[in-house]
Amino acid sequence: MKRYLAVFLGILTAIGGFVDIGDLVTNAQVGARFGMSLAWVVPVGVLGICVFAEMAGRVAAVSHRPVFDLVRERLGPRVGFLNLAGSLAVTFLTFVAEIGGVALALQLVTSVHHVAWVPCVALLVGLVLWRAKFSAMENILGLLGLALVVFGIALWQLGPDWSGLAREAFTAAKPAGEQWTTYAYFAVALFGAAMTPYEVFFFSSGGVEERWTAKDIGVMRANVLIGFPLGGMLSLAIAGCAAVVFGPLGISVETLGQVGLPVAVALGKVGLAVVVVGFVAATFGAACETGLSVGYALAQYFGFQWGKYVRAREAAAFHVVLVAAVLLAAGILMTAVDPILVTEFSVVFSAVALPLTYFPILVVANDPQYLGRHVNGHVANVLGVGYLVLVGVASLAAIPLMIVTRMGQA
Amino acid sequence: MRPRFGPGTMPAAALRGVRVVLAALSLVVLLAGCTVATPSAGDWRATAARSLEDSASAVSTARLALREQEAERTWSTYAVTLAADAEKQTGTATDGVATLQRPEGVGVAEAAAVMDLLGRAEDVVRRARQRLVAGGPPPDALLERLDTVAQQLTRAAGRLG
Repeated sequence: MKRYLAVFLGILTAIGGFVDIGDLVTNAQVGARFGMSLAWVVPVGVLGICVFAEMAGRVAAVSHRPVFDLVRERLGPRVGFLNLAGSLAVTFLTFVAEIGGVALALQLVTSVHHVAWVPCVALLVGLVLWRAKFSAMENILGLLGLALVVFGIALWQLGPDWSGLAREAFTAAKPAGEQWTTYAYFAVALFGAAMTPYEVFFFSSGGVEERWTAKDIGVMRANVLIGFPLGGMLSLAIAGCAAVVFGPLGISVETLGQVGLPVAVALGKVGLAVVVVGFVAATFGAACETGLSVGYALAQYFGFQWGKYVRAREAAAFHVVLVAAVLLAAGILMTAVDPILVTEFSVVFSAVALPLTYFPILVVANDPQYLGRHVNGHVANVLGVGYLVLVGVASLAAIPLMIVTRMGQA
Repeated sequence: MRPRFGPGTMPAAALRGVRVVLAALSLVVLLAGCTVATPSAGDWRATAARSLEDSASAVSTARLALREQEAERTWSTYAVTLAADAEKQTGTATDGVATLQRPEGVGVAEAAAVMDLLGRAEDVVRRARQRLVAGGPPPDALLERLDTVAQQLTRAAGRLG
């Protein structure tokens, strides 16, 4: 019974923790501008993240060592450093965006400018990273993130032309008046948002923190293979709401307030309150995850003590990195940079860094010296190699598309 | 355990190649940044069309915020934040055209018409934000005005694009 509860809780937190500021903004932007014609990218991205998260989780459960540690040992310091640099830069950018997202959500409730909220949010994130228990942080914020299910209810309440939405989704037809380059740019951004590297590193490091063993592989797989796809459904619901409400009015999504507006149209103040709770939980949870991932990445590469199960005194360098990351992120946001712009950059650069992140995981997951009989099977390898080709294409195309389309403005 | 890939296993020639490519890319980016932008008539119209579309989106957002507030489906701070963001968006859109040198291929009247429309968008969104701050139901005239300006902006963007 305890095991079933663990699976159920894991799935719920995986759903609630799947959506972050990148998913919120990108899905709403795409829905408003392209309807459901880019919906196909979400399942493609979700399957990709499932493939690599399962590999990383299996590595953590069997070897009891985190991915960065093994990548450095298996592929050497140079490749390990490339892996670290790419992932760290994108994860930190995402961390900045998530803290900004929490501040934007609080602005919606108070009308106080988000810059004024940044120090408070940064302080709170810092306190949670320092003091809160890993499982409590993951479970509470993940469960609160489930509030975003309200997007699904709102979409149903809006009473859209379901067959029309389905036709758009399955034909993947570019709307008239849009360029193919812009369509491709948003496809890459959506793919980057779904396959953000930190999710895999946080997941596997969390496995080590929670002392997974080979016996936990089943639970881990259930969390990934059920939780993540259901989280992906939330992404589609966000895009659907934006398509139904903003599409006919020609509104483009530029702010977090606009992302939640369709829920207000459908469900009124109660729905709006729930969605704002979801915004805060999703962005705050992701801020904690990305902040920890920054610390995990550096500590695991350079080999110093890390983790929330270790006393702060024993993992002093790890906690110093966390504090420094929080201060730097807050400092960047205090310059009044637009968190939505940071988010847009983070999802595109996430796509750029994907091969650096996922290639080493595939190599380590195939090494019998680390995984014994739990090495990748044929299905995992076929999917893994297929996705490496895909992330390679997305990575090469991301920057040129960003320049040509002026970040989707063309 | 001997790693198949490891320190020193990357061929020196490949490493040199990577460095050359990175250096060349850096040079291209630097040189690209040094050129002065001189918009053609086509570039000016594309920028103007984009600004008009952005303004139309902001005006429609402000209208939706007013309508939802009137129907008591949002709370005041949320609607005010939406309208304030929309106001900022119209300002950015106007700056996008105002700071661009009018090329010879674009007539004075054409440029003035675009600026006039963008100015009207700024004005009507500001009034929507003021109404939301003041509270109470929005006058029908304001809602109509927002609707009309949004349509004018969209039509003008269509003509230029």
